[in-house]
Amino acid sequence: MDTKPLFIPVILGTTRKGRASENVAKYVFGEVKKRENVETELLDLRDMKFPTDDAGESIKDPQFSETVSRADGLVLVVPEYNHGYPGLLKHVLDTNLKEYIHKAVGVCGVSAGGFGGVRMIQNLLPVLRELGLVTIFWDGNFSGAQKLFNDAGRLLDDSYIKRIDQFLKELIWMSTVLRYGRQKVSL
Amino acid sequence: MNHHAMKIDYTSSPDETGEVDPVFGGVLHEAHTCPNCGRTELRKAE
Repeated sequence: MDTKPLFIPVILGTTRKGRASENVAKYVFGEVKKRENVETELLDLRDMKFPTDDAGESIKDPQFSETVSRADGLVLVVPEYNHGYPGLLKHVLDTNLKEYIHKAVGVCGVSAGGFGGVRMIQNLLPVLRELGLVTIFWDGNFSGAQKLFNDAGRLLDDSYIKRIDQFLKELIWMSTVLRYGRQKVSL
Repeated sequence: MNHHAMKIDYTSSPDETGEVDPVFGGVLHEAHTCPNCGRTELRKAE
């Protein structure tokens, strides 16, 4: 079995000014970093420049694609906008395909209200599935996100610690199994 | 390389029209991953 560290980047899926998801992404990124034998990076959509006069793999960004290609799993931190996911996130995700096939993905939904992005997650799942990603059955649901962190970005509700711990355990398990499958199990 | 998935590409170009699988309605691609470096490539299915 391949013993090199898993690589599970965290993708912050919005560029909106004042985004509450940024604190969530930094928190989850910090938790992934603590995991033994797991490497990670925090990828911010704000740092990526994709044209809007074309779409799909023809506007692939080499650096982003290379990072996803190396990944064994992904964490998507995504706010719910009008019951859906940000269009820009979809635009970016659509620039890759082979890079996602048979890799694990976990979604952390973020909302200002009480549902923690569950509607967004339900809408995003079919997209992830079609991209070839394997979704885990644990989500992160960060509700009331504007009040969840203090000014220094510190999490104020400790109940998320156990939830995200479980979320990451499942994601790491799935990432491990799928890496083995991609390398060793033939169709 | 380890062939571990088939994926349908529905966005084929006019040049690929002849390669569209009549059952699936798109061009079939095989996903192959190198067991050493872990990189995945897509190849058109024969």
